Amino acid sequence: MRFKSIIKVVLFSYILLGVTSANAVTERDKFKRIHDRIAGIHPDEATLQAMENACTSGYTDDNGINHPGGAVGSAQCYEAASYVAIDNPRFYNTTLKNMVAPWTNEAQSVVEPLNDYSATIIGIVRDNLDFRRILTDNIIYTVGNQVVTNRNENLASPRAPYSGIATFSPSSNQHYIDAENNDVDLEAYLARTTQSSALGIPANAAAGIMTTRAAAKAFYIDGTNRAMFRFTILNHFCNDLEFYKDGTRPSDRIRQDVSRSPGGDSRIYLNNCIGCHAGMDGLAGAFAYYNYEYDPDVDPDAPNGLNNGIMSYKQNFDPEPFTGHGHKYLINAENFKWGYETTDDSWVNYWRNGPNINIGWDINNANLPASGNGAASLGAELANTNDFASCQVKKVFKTVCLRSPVNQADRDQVASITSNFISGSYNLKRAFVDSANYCLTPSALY
Amino acid sequence: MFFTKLTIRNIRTALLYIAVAFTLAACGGGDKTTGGVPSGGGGLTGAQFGCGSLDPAPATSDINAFCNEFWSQSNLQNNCATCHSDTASNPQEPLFVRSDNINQAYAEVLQPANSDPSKDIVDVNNPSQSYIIDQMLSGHHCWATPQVCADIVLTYIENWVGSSAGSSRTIQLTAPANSQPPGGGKEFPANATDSTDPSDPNITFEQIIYTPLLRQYCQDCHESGPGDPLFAGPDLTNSYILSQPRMNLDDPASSRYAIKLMTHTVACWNVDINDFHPDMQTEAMTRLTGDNCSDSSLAFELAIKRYAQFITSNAVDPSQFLISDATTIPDGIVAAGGARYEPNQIALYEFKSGQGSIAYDTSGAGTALDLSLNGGTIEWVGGWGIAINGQGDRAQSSSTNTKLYDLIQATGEYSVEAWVAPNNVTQENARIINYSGGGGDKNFALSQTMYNYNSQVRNANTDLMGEPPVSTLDADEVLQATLQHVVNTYDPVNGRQIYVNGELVASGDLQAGGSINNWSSTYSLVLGDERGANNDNNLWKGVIKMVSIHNRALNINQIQQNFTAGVGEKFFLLFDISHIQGVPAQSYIKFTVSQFDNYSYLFTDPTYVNLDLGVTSVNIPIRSMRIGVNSNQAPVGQAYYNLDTTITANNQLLSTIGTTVAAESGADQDEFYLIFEALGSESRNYAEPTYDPKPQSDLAPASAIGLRTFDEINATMSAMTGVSTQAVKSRYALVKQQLPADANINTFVTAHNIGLTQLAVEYCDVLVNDAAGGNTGTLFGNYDFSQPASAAFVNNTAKALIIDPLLEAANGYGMDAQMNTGNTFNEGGTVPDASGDTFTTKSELIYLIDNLCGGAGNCGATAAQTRLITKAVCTATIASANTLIQ
Repeated sequence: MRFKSIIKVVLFSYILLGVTSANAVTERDKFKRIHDRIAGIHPDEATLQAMENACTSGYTDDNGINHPGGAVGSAQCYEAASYVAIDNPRFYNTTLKNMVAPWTNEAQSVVEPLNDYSATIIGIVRDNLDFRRILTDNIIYTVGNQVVTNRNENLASPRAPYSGIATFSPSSNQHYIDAENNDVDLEAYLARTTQSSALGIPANAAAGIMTTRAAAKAFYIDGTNRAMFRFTILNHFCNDLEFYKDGTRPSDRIRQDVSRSPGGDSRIYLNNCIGCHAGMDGLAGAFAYYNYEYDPDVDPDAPNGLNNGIMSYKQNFDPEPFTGHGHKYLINAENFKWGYETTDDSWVNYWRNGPNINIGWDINNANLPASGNGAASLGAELANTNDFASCQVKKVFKTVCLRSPVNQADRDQVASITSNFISGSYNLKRAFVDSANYCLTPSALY
Repeated sequence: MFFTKLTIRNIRTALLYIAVAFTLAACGGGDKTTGGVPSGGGGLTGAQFGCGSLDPAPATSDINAFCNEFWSQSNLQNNCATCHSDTASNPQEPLFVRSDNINQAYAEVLQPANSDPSKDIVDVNNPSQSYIIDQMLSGHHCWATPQVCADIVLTYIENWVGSSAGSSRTIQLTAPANSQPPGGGKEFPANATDSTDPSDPNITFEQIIYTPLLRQYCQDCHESGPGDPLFAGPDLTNSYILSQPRMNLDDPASSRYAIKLMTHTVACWNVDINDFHPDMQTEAMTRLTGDNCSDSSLAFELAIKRYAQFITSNAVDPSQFLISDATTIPDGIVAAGGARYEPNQIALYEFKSGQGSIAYDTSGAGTALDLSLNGGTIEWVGGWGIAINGQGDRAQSSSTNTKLYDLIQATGEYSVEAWVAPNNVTQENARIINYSGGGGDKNFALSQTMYNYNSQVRNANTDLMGEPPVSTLDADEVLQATLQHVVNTYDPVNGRQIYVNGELVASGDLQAGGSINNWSSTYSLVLGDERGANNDNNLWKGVIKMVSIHNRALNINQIQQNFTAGVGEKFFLLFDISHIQGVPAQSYIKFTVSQFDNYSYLFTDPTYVNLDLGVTSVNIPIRSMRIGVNSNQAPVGQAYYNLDTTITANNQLLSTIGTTVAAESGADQDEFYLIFEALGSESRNYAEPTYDPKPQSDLAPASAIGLRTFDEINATMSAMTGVSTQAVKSRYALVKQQLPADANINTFVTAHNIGLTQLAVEYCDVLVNDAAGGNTGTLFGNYDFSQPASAAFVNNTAKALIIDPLLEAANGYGMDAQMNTGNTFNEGGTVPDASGDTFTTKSELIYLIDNLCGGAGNCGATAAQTRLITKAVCTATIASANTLIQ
């Protein structure tokens, strides 16, 4: 009876909100919305006051950057107010973590524990780093035992862990699970270091999140390593492979394991399989030296990260079954023995031509060669595309506006925010600020 | 299909043979081992004419092989020796089955044929090009259908050549007879009733060829037999399909219909001028000879000429494209595969006939165990094979032919070898090859269960269904939905073993050692199901391209030899590039081409060859090669696009990569050519088309508000109450999955509400207990929680001391969009309920307190009730829409 009474009041609140939300929008409402969407939590009175003050008087954020503010209602006003929300630890612990969590697992579940993939993204955003580094850099963040005051700090090895949580280990996620369970302030305690020191891989093997343990566990586990390419595209180009299907590209890099006549019907291959594999197999060659090595007798999905798998890298191509990383590039070779036989970690980008020219390659005019060896150079190829930049903005837009771009006005806005993101040195906070600003305006309300 | 190709090629060769020959070492040749097994070849029962006691004895090992594998075969001795032997009553040359001197017989069989000197009786380098094969195809003293006779004799020749120790098979590369610039090939209209003449709707296949000629003059033999194929039946569409390979639109005189009548003198009739289309009668008048066959041939030639008269061709512009000459599969050279190991083969199904309802056993061993094709959806597939597609489909032998039983019982062991392409990896207990008695009983079976092949054999240690089976390991996933070579072997010592693609993948049969004496002789060999089944229980769906049964357990070397030999018909296609500047004369790009399945061709091993034996080194830059099909670059499957090298030597392999390109008009019709970006000293530029970005369509209008998700709700409640998330984390862990995971407001369900409220109860419990415990730092400040409820909630002002801080924490103030406009929470935000009464949030909470007290003024006298009611008010406040919605 009592519970029912409470529920009745709760439901009543929805009715009331529905009616009153049609009322005129005040500046306070806008600040509250900015805070709700960026920090994820309801602002208290003091926070709202701080945002109002930042709006007109400016605000110096936790990175020490001043945002001068402006007239009430101006973009500068909302930018300064937005940084108040960005400096709330919940922006990192909640909003960013949950935005990134689906990228880090094959099921794309948002209810995924914090891990080295998501922590590294959070750290890169916190430190205002070039977001392209998520696909290229020898970088990882762990949860240290000191508040990080210098956001340029880059440690030679992982810092001692936050009190009460497991030490970082390349063979366990417990460190991050503990940090999440203890609700450790990630903005304060995430410490930057190198994958080469933390994971024990060569520096040139590191390629941002593509070489984190979480990504390896999700996308290098078993199989043929194509999953790493597909999910990198899915998560960072915002389209699955079907979107990029192009059967007109050269088929000479399609590996031997792809049947050219599935079930005895080669139309399936010629009309479907080749569309993705022609481009993908050439690009995914970059991952030939990577593997997720784990004890198959330990459940890889065991709770609390108990399995002991590691992101493993072995230089040089080793085709030996079971032990050689290259073996997963040669399995089922008899499916089509005239297919491409992998011998190294070279990759080539056939999507530079054809319909996928519209991905917008090498947009920063760095004369990238469209081919190379290893994951880091592939990461640079992928990160320097318009689709990469646009995708990051779309994800932020959805996080802030709670919807995908739905019409031309939205798409134009995403293009504009993308342009700002690129010209703003790929600082993802810029996309949060711009998106928050856009979704305040009445035209974005439906 | 095979029949047609061979014949067309032979005829073209006879007419246009270019005397340029080049010897190439055989490709893909397996070793020539005979494995020490007594060589009876396909003639396990056919080798009735012993070679060991001949006088004179075979002079060489090759003559010995000839004797064992060819000369001694009963089919030849019984059908050929009546004329071509010294023992014949009227001996006719060549005496290739003569019994007086095996060495002479050997010499005669290698001689050119009298009636076609361009061919040897038996061409050991290119067995399918043997004159004797042509004779079999023409039905010359054939003891079965022409195709079956040809296949069986071909098997004899291949067994001979393959088993001859020290023999080195070579393939003669010759310039393609019909090499010409690509394009220009006229294409058939889509339908038999489509007119090819824009000004005359009656110029259709039906009205020009089918009705006046085929139905009138060919019907007797080619409607329902004995002629083969049945192109003169009542089904117009079928006739059209069968007739296309037999009509050459570019050169009507070369049409098989015309040539067959001219050269094979079949079914010629007394031609009348009215047999010609009016438009062709003038020409006919000048060409009619009075010879029935010549005139019948002319009737077809001119009918096809009229039919093709207005079909335009699409020539490829050599100024725009740097191209090779074009060629076709019928113009290719049969690429003999490596020798198969077949000494103990007792049944062989290669599905070469490509039509009809029988899959012939062409092993030549014993009485042929032919299979009847049953079911409504079973079909032939290109490049030799059958596809089993649906319920009732199967290929089944007679149960009265006991060949398998007899020959396997004699040895106590067997091997079942097949090239199969399962449709999928989900079918279970699906019988691929089944020596079946129906109802599950069987002598042996090769089956599929998802990713596994199974081997069942009835013996003393297994049941009547041959179970338990031996299977490949689940984890290995060796069965793939692609063409695979699979062999099940059985012998008493090792029991059942399974080999896939030349590797042993299942062994250690726990039921090994059992005798197979309990087999039944009345069972049938069935492909695709149990005998007589008409349900899905054991149906196997997929393509079978070859089945071979041996009455010995093949060893791994023999299995690998057969795997290496491959399956299906392969051709060398020579693409002439010698017309390109900077390329030496007689230069070709050679591809090995086969029909991969019904829908594509397989191109492999691109190699530069120069037919001038004197040319050993060249210097030919070559860049970006593409395959063209019928005047256009194949849009999909270009694997040599990135080729960029310099050809420096004859026989230089250009790439190890192979590719498949889509079939268009069929293997007999499709014309292939090569396109280059640069070759020799010439080059062309091919611009990529312009691709616009994909248009983006609008989505449905979306809500501007959404749900707070799980972590956000937790953090929000923590922020509202000032209670650490750590204080409630066990409760949060329980309800986390019940809270929204997606911000989309349309995903809201009431379960979210329950989870939200449960979490709020936990936060409020901690908050109130903390405050009641004396912590003045909470949002209740120094509120006295020790007072009884009756005092705490004595009036609305007193109640507001609880309600106001909670509302302020949960809602904030100064926001029109929120539930309250001022900081007293007494105004604004009213909404009528169903009864017409109006409420504010605050008044609702007041009613909640009254309700929990049992009515206004009835609050109890305990402090515990004060805390309890406070927790309830707190819960109702922070579990509100203001928390859930953002």
